[in-house]
Amino acid sequence: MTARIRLTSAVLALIVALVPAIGSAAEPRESCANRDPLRRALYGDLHVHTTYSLDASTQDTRNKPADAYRFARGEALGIQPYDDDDRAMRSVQLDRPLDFAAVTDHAELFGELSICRTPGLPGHDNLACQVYRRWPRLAFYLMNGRASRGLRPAFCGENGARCVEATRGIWQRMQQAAEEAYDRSDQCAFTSFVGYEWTGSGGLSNNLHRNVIFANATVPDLPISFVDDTDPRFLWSELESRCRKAGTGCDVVVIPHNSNLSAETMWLEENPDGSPLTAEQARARAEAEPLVEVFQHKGESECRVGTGTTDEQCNFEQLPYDTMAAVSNTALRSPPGPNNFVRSILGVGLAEQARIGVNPYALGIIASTDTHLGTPGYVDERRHVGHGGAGPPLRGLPRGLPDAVEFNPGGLAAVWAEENTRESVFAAFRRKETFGTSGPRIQLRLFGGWDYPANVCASGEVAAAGYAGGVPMGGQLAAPPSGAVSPTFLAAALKDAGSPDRAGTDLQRIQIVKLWLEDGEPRERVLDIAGTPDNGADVDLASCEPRGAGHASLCTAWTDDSFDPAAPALYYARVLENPTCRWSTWVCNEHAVDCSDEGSVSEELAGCCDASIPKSIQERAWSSPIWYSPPTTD
Amino acid sequence: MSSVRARRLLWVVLMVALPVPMLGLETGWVPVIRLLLLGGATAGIALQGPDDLSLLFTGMFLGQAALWGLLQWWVARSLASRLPSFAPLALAGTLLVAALFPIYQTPYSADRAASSILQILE
Repeated sequence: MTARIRLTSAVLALIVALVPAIGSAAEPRESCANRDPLRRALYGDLHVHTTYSLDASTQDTRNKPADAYRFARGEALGIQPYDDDDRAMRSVQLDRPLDFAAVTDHAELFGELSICRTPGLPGHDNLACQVYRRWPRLAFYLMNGRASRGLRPAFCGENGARCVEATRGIWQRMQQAAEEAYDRSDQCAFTSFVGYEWTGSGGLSNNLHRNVIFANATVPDLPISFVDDTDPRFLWSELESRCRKAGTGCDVVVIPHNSNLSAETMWLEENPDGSPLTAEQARARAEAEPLVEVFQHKGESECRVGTGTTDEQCNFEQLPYDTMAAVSNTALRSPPGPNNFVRSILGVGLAEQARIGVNPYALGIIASTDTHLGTPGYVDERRHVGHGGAGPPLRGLPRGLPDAVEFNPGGLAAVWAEENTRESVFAAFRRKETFGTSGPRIQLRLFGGWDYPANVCASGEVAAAGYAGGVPMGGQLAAPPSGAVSPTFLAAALKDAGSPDRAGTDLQRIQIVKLWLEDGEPRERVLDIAGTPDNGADVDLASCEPRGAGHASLCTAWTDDSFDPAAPALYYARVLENPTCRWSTWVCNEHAVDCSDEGSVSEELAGCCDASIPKSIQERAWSSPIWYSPPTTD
Repeated sequence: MSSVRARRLLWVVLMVALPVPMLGLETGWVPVIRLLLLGGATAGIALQGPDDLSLLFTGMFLGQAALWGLLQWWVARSLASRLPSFAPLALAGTLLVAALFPIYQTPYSADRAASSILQILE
């Protein structure tokens, strides 16, 4: 009897010990030496392509995931073009390492690429693979075209079995690269995440792409791709059954991007049969997709002047078209509409919340690069080498603009986390305590509460007061306490500290963007709450020297005096730097382009004289929103 | 050499060596034989498993090849009948020598914008 009790106790103890490890996705690792309970800003890139992506490989990107992680950790990396001896003709390096990164290669053609590049594998000698090796750009169109219709090439064999098997090898190599890059020492210098891109398209080429980021090393045995099923709801449900609800410790977030190129189809408000979303569908979407990438190489997706807003800061890094096909085919270009943009859809989310009680679009904000060179976090306007997103291969060193002039170097994902571990950073993704930047490492805090003191900024304890008195970005405001009239938002920003050889740019102002429902329709209001647009700062476009002063830091406690406790609302912060030269201006100045003498401007520099492209920009950061829902009466 | 043989020789050389505009998603200047090679490859892929794009590319490449091929046949016939007998031969020889240099702009290649006929056929 005693022995049986002892055995039962031992089994129970074992179960108690194992359950948290299984359920919490905890991984074995040393504790971090520099844990901060008030959380610190960590910067990373969650959108990175290497040679395992078809579009990267067919433009001669040769860097692999392990190379991309080395680059993210601060090492120099060679990039195309390559000389006759296969030596990279260009080298790039970050001025500061990133804190975290995920390589997110396009999952749809892992197997096909592996077969076409590995002699001896069944299918390697097939005509389609010979086309890939001989005319890679033609293969790019043909293979991508099939994949974007959910089809596999014939050489994949019956039911695509050969390609599925080859996919397994690539997927394991990606996991191995992430594992090797992850710093499990107490230095906690770098965190890698296993990830991939689900590369869906609708219509001709309406972008539905999403990055899938796993919390830890426990991942499904194969990536769930667009070829498996073309409906994103299949992706969400498969990730739920094979990861989040599998009981293995697996967890995952899905991050849509480039809604600006989706022809307004990224955020469908109804089912294909025309029926509205149900609460269950909205909940599934919100759980699967807590974040959105608002900025990257191929433009900004926050908002656009003329699509439901007059916000003058919505003219930042806009693409003048709204599908992927229009990138290369000017005949297909049409102007973007409101639902191409995240701000509009955040407003739709409020309306859905009011209708069905669940907000399917309660999205936290990040940004990333979408580099196709395997160079995460390479966002320097001054040294932009292009990111090569699905572009043609370079024929020799670039002699002018290294990228389409309307593209940009991309941005960074940022989180507020206690320490730089997978567990801590992923928890920030889940609670949406994230922000995106257009490149600089601006620090942006936003808290919402009901009784922040007016002098909280002067106290120097912004974070402590912010957490103690309310919720951080990504959170939900609690119901107003008795006697409270309006919420107060505590917004604080620090300028990018810069690197030893380059100072960061001063801040100009912090803005609050408020969306709320009025008569069932989303409304918006944009206010400057700290700093001013009239600070006189600008940039000398000839030398790119900034002129005028700004702020090293900004902080304010702003109270919404027009608050309606009966109206669902959300608030997010946007902080702007003083103006600086855009990347294209740096290049055009280096080549002494004179647009007044058209004949002197080479074809490679023609973009320098495109009047629609601004010469200067105001780099920025966007916080995740804080939401407010009126108390329910039942 | 008879005018018929001269015409045939010149036509083949024009097909192999004369750069003609290549239209489509990517553009360039290529000999008709490259259009035939590309069209043949995409036709082969389409036969393995037809899809919109492989059929579109096949039509685009072979359609242009047929158009330029017919035009070149007419040019070869005209030149062979109107010029002295040595002229077509001289023209063909000149074209073949020029083709050894990278005079073609060859889209869909991996890493070269300009190619010679040997690089196209390698």
